[in-house]
Amino acid sequence: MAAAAPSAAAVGAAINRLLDLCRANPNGLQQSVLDQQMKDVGLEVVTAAINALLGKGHIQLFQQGGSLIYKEANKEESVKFKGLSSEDMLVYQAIQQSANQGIWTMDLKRRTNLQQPQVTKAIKNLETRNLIKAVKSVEHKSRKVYMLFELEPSRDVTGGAFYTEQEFDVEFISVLKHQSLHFILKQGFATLENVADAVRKSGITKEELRLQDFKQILDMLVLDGEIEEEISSGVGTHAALPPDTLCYRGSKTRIPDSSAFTSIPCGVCPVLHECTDDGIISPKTCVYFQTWLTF
Amino acid sequence: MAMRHKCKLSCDLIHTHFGELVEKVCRCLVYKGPLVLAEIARYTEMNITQLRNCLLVLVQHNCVQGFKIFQEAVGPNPPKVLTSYLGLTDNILHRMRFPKFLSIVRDELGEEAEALLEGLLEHGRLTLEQVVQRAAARAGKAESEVELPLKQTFAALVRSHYIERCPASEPTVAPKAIEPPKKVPRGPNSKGRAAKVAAIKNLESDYDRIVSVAAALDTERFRMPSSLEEVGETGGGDVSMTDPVVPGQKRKRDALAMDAKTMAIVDEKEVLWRANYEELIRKLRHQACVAQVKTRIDAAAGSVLAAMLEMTRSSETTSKPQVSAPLSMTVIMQAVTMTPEGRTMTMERIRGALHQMAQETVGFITRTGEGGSSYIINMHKIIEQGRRNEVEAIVLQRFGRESCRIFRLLMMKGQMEQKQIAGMAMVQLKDARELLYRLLKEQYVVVQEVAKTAEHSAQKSIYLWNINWDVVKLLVLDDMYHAAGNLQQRLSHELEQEQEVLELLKQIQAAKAAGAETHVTLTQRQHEQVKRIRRVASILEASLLKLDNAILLFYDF
Repeated sequence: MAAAAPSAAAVGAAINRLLDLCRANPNGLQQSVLDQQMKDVGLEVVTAAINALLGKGHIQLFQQGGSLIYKEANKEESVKFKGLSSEDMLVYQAIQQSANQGIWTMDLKRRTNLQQPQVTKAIKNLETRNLIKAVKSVEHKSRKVYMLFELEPSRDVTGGAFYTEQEFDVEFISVLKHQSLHFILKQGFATLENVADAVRKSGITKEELRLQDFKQILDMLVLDGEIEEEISSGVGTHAALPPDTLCYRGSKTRIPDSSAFTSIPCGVCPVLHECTDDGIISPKTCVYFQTWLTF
Repeated sequence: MAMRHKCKLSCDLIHTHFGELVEKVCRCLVYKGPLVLAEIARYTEMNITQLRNCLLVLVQHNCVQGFKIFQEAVGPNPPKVLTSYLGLTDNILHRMRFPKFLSIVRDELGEEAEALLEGLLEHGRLTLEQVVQRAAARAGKAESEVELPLKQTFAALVRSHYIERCPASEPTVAPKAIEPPKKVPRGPNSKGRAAKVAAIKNLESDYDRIVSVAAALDTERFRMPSSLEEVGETGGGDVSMTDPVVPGQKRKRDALAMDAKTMAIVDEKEVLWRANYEELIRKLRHQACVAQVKTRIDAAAGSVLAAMLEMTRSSETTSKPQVSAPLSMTVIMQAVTMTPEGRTMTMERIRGALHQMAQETVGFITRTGEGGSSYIINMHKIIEQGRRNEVEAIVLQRFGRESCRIFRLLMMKGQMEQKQIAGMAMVQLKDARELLYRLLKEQYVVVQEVAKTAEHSAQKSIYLWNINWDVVKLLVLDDMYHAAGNLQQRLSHELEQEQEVLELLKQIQAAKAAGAETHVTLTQRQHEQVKRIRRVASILEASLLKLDNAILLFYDF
């Protein structure tokens, strides 16, 4: 701190100039620009002015790259933040940065360099003001992550349509899968939109499913070898579709349920690699063979 | 070590077919690579007459190929020529396939041809004279009675390349080819997959080299015996047409020394014939291609493809070509309408089938030539698709539907991270991890670390999952050999167990056949035993034949 306190009048003038500068740079006032513009005023005066403004929540301080940026806070926001301590603000900004991914308290602590009780207190303050909210994450079930109140949590956090109560809803997926497959097989072929419409109309779910979700279901069916992708030719059986649209049809060759190799015990034997002619595990004494040959 | 079970299976087969002593010799050759007689004697500790007889049995049955190597003079030792013997594992394994070969020939050339081939398979190699003698003895007729129809059948078999003249018994091989026995890294000494694959490649190239040196030119291999040339010509075979022009330098010299008559006698009494496995396997390969197309498209497309394969068969120069020779539309039309299934097909239908085959994602056939006027068959792609289906079925059975989904995903997309895999296969991340590690344990997938830091810290590294298709194929094949070996073992074990009662049964049957009254009868329990062993044997044999189809798909096609 400077030895002599700067005069109140000088600080008041500096505050006004600072606010003007901030308004002139709505995208943020760089530290370097500020230094240049306020060259004539003493460093102590500028510091005092900035501190005063920050304390009242009239301007906000950001770090961008290596330099500091000042921005004027709009009126509404300054009301919102009135009475919050600087620690609260620090926590708030860290949460804001995490956007719709949310941030975990431990990460908050690390990011802000605050003690655990301070962080907890700040979170409590912010929560009671409805500035932030807690969301349960699917990735780490025991963790709560915080994000700004007005944000919709990202699909990574909620897991998307296929998660119910943070659990991967296998039942739901298998119902959707069967419904889609049934529809495609009944129709012979269908586009993604057809399938989505049919499933939505069938009313098996109240969940709002996007086209991407249906795409995921169909992709899975393709991987299971139940259906195949096909480019419509626009003629013949595809007359109903415009040419060159992607559609799906029932697969002609499903993955066979058995093969010559797997229909004998060795094909599915968990200890095949330990099996030798005269070893403890051997084809002569094999129990799998025994049950296979006596039915 | 990969392919260890292949060697084991071939030894097992030799054991059941020829007994213990021959197996001992065979085991020695199969595991240790080419050896000279003295070395075999040392390893097997057999006396030389026995050993010689065993080797003769193996050579007679085309399971061993002898060859000469010229050894340069070392110090005071004069240069010498050594005769080594190479175990032909492929040929030994073909012994499992005799029923398949016989049914091919029966379907194509009738029962007489089947009987003739059966004789050749049973005895390994025979002269034309012996073939005639055998047939006469079986039919209980005089040789002159059976001779003419038999020779015609013989000519038909030669024309279709299903039988061939035996290769040179002891060709001289350039010394470089034979060095490896010591060099080939085998067993626990070789580490890593690449080494294994390389070692197998190396072994195979040696093997192929010796076999190819022994093999005669195609024209020589399928040259009709001179007493049959007229029969051949009336049949209009191309073999006899090219015949008079081609005989090489050496043959010319021989020919000068003998007149035509002695030639005919030599041809009849001395030239040995054997079944041509290569051509029989080619036929099986074609059948597999047709079956694949039949299931993926329809029977009509299958028969069109069959007709096309038949047309291009004679132009196939290697044993497993990637693609066929191009066929023009008119030739295809002709070929299809000549087959019994294709006679009723309209031109539109054939065109449609061709279009479907070309459109299919696998790419069964491709248009080539000017303006896409002709088609080639992508045999390799068809076979490869069959292999994929087989592996997918195995993964499905062994690891379940989710794992199979992951496997197919990786086959399509390659290089993926765990999280991506879980997302696309719609499996929970922690389940995906478990499934992937199970696949990794059985080596169906591989994982690659992409470290972001120099310390390779696990938290900061990316792990990419992938499938090394060539390795998977090799592993699956070896597992199949292992399984086939087990079936074979179990079969001989079961038969051994019930030897007593089977022996008894044989006696009774022999007595009955002789028309004598027999006082020996089987007890209730023994009847049960016979019933059981018959059922068990038939299950095991049928499974072995079916499994062999898969082995053919992965190795011989």
